[in-house]
Amino acid sequence: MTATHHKRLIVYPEKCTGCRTCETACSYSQYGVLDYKRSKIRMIRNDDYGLDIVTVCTQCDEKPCIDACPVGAISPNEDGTIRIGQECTSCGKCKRVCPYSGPQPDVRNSIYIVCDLCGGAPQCVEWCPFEALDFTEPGGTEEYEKHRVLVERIEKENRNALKSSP
Amino acid sequence: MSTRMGKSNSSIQGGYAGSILDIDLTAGSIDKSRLDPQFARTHIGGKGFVARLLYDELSFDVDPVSAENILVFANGPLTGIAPASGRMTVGFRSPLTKTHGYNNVGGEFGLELKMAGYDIVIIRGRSQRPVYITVADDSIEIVDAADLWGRDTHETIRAVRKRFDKNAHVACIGPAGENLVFHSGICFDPDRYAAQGGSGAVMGSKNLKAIAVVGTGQIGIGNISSWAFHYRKILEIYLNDPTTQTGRQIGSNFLAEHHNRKNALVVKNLQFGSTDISECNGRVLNERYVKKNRSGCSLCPISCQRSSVIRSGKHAGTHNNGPEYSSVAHLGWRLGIKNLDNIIYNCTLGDKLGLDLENTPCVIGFAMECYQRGIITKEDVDGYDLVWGNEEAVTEILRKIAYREGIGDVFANGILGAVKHFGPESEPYAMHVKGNDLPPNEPRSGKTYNMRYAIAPRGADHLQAAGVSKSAGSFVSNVDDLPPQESMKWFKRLEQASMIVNLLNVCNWAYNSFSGTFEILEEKHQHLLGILNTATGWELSMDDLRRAADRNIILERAINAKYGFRRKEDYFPKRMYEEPCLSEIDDRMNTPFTDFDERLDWYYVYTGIEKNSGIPEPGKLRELGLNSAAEDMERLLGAESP
Repeated sequence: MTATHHKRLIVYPEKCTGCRTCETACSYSQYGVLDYKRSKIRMIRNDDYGLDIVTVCTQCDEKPCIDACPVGAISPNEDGTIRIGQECTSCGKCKRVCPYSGPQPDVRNSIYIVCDLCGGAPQCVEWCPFEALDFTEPGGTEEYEKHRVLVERIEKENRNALKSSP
Repeated sequence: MSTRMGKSNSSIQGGYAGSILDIDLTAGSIDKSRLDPQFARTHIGGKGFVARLLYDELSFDVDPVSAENILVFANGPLTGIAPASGRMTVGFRSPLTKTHGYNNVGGEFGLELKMAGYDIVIIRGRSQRPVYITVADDSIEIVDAADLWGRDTHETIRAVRKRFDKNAHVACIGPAGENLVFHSGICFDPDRYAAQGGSGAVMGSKNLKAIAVVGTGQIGIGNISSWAFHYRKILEIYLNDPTTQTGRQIGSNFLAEHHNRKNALVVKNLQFGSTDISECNGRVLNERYVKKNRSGCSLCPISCQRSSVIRSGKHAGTHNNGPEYSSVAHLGWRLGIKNLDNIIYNCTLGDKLGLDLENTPCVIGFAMECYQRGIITKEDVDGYDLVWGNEEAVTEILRKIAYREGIGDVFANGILGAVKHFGPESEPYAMHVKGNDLPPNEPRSGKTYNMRYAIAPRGADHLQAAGVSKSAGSFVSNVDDLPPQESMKWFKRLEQASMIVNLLNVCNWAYNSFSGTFEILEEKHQHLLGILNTATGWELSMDDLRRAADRNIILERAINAKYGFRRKEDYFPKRMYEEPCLSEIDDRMNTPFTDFDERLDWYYVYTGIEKNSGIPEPGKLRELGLNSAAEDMERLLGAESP
């Protein structure tokens, strides 16, 4: 795949407070209702270490989700986003291989859903009161790496916390 | 089940979840009912729901730690649909004060409960064995918790998540609640507390270890585009108010320096109002301990919480989602401790044990002053040398309180229990109102504003009337210069503003305290009303909302009146009237209260309370539509008249 020429969503981990205003904006923009559990951007948190960050598709070049999908339900779009077709069996592999845990389960429809950039003007970026999200030209490698590391750390700590519990 | 507010209920289009969950642990029964639209419109939510339910359901002599007490968890209409709406109200009769009990807790539990479909959860009775309750939308279960009993709050939350749902939001008690400690709280998703008054003991007395919730429903909104307009207007107001930055950068700990300047810290059990805080303040905390500043309750544009870690020394590696100003004040200056390592360690310890860190350290501070004055000796307190700043002793005593061991068993009964144990000589040093310890803003530093401590139904309560941060200093002292008849009008405005946000159940800090001016506060409130109306389809005015606030302020007083509380309980400890508050480091001082009675009289007049007895006036109650309370108060007044 050629290097990115399209704009991408970027998350600044040091600015994000885990407040979930982006989830509100996403649900409002996507569905015209408040339906947090169908938001395409979601906050994850680890209470033990006071860590939080949002997980969302950042339109990366590699798109490991496409190959990971066992039923071939995922295909790329021109603008860097992906689409998940109705063949999706909700197995969750796409989310697990994604460094940003981008694809999200749609709790009511047994399917995974993913950010479509609100047609070019992502509302999470518009609403975020902390300027923790942006929609920009390619770049910001270091921030993507920080984002990836934090997502991985939170998911790992949460797994460990459950594992060590009675 | 998706949208909770369907066409079946034309009187409320949205905002509310629409249902009440009523669980009787004695019978093991689970009932669901619809939220009555008229009840919702009259009492709005949060503190309003709690007060009405407890007024109607509890008898005047209910024992707070019996099966007859009830524990109510209530959301407001704006939970999950307004900025800074991650709050929830918990109601009960208080074991600590025996007054009306209410807690306000932050986090995400409220939003999750709303998505599960409930505005209110009522817990009654007492289970024979320890249990926890799980709520997953329509599916409710009461689950055996025998092997969780005795576990700390953090372990409990993790274990419940493992057994029920890894994404669940959990409210639970620690050993302190199990052992019916009068100042135990309910811990929500580690380190957030519903506290003051012993809600943990109420939960413990019901053998209820935890409540966990996951919800997947939509939250209905009547007019979504108008809703979005008001939502974004509020965000804009926050972003244009410089006070927001204070909240973001330093959170509640900005109060350390602010109060020290005003001689308003509670140093050594309120003997002093200021001290050297150069090594123990919000900036030092940020520099040396905070690893992430800013973390938020749901939808908060300020996000005042921070998380810290002790980096070196014997407590190295101890993590805390805080500490907040009041924990630092009570575990620190109040006890003569300035070592942040110890303060943070004790804060985490208290969180795990299920202790309320507003009240628990205060009773130790009281004992320290009794020790300083020779009223008690080592032999009275398990051999501890209770000198100011004895960090080790405080850590050990906190643990003993949670398990009711030795002197901990005395302290676990709160300040009134400790006074009873140490004898009448100790009484002048008990810094409380109605058995609730004075919060960390020294009362004499603001004669009008701090009337809230004397007046609040749950005893000394900082939430009864919130200030306005930036202008707080000048605002409060200017008001103090006015005659009581005028200054108490200002107090009523602050009290009303606090009650409005507590009915809507949005954050008192974010909407009131973290407002640069009173005008900004009022502008935020206008848009909150906009959100309420666009969500519900109602057409309430600001006056309607103010009236609802007045209704609840007097209803809470009526609950207390029913329990036997009268004018004489609305007073500070004698020290506040007899001595100035000195500084430990220079010659500043705050004068004692001189016109307290006059202020109290005007408060009663403006609120509609009969002056001699402190009982709400039946006429005022009727005017606000509280007819049954009016009849009850008539009976009480009749019985008191000579």
